[in-house]
Amino acid sequence: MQPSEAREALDSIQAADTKLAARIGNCPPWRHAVLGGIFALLIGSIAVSSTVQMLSLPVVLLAVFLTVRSDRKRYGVFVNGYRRGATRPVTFALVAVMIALVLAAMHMRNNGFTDASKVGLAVVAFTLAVMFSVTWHRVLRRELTGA
Amino acid sequence: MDISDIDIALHAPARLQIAAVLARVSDAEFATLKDITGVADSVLSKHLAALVDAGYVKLRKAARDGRQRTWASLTAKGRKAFAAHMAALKKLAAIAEEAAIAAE
Repeated sequence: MQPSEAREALDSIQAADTKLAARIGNCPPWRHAVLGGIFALLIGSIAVSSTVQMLSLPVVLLAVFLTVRSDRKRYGVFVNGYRRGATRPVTFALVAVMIALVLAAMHMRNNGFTDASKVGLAVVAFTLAVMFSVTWHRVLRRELTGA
Repeated sequence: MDISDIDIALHAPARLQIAAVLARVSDAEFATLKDITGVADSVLSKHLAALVDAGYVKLRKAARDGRQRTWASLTAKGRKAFAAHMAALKKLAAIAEEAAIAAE
């Protein structure tokens, strides 16, 4: 292969990345809200009681399944949140924050916190999940477009 | 990594683009790959078959809207091969740039 061919090959890869970014880089607001809702339900249910947590788990799993199915249908691709690349640190940060929220939810459940504070924690989970989702997509778009 | 890592299986432009897209995602539908590479169905099928033969891609069928759709994903071997190929391309392109600068 000639060096000039290598440059052309790299340009063709960038062209494919740019097309992929156009396809998946713009995530609709409702999609971010769905992720936020999933985390709010997960954290909120843990804070309420173990029974509510157990009853909510199938709902959470179903929501995840339907979200993945919707992504595949809408984009024609599926991008795993744990993918290698610039987005991975964002994912790990979200996991770390959610672990902290799970611990906070368990503390609330075991120490008789008010319903209002548990709802507040669920709202925090929703907000943080949405922020991470927006950031994750922004980082993905930047990675694909090289911007 | 060196320029001997240039992979013949990934040399064809459309094949390289297929691998590039699959390297960024978990999997992609046939129609998506066709849209991004801009090649005809039969050409895309041939390239995917070649990548499957090389052990770089695996295909699966999934029903959607009453039709069977083909989804492609890179294998671990494919991801490794693509990464090595990319590194070799960048090295080769850098050699070209250095030569161009030296010639000025």
